[in-house]
Amino acid sequence: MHRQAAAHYTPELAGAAIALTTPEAAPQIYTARGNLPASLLEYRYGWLDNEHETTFVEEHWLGDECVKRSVHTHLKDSGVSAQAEAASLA
Amino acid sequence: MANTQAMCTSFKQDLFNGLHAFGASVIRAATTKDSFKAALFLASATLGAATTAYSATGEVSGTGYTAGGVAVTNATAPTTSGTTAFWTPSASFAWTGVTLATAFDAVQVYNDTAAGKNSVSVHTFGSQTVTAGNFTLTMPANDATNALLRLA
Repeated sequence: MHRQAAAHYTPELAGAAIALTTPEAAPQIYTARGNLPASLLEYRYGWLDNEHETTFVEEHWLGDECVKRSVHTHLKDSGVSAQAEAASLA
Repeated sequence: MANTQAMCTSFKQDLFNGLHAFGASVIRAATTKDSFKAALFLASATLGAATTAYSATGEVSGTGYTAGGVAVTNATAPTTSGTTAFWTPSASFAWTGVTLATAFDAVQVYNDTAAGKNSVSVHTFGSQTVTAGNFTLTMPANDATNALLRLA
């Protein structure tokens, strides 16, 4: 049976393969004002559910400005159908 | 046994597949399926049953959005259940990293292979805007009751 030898770990090796960060670095979120620290943004979300669709909206606000808004809509029923009929000759 | 007046279900499926031409048709270069696209339209636009082809008039515009819309993934052929023929795209319509500041509430599916960009359907939903984000339209269940396109 062939066994692969475990790579010898060194901090230098890990540093080369993975971009390391410090615990102090804040996660960034892409917004209309560029990348902003998540800690500066207020997260809001909401649902709309009716017979035609289910929609999930999520927003990120910077103060009184919505700087990011995404929408995910699931169409339950397209509302598009055609009734095909064959005429009677009687 | 008795005969029953009906429009044949297979005919409805054949319509989806472009098999019959009662009027002047087009010369098809191959038997491969056509390519379709989905484009978003402003809530102020007037698309509907009378829409015959794709036009950029009334289409959304904004950062990250390409006029003409996105390709429709079509991996599942039209099929039938009972007396209904139906078809649904096999993946969601998705726009990522876009800003669409003016409210939109409709998507048009049209034939991108056809020279005239002939319209297939218009589907409406709650009016929305998007800011530096994503808009995803997931498809209804592909069955005789809910499919995106149904010939009953």
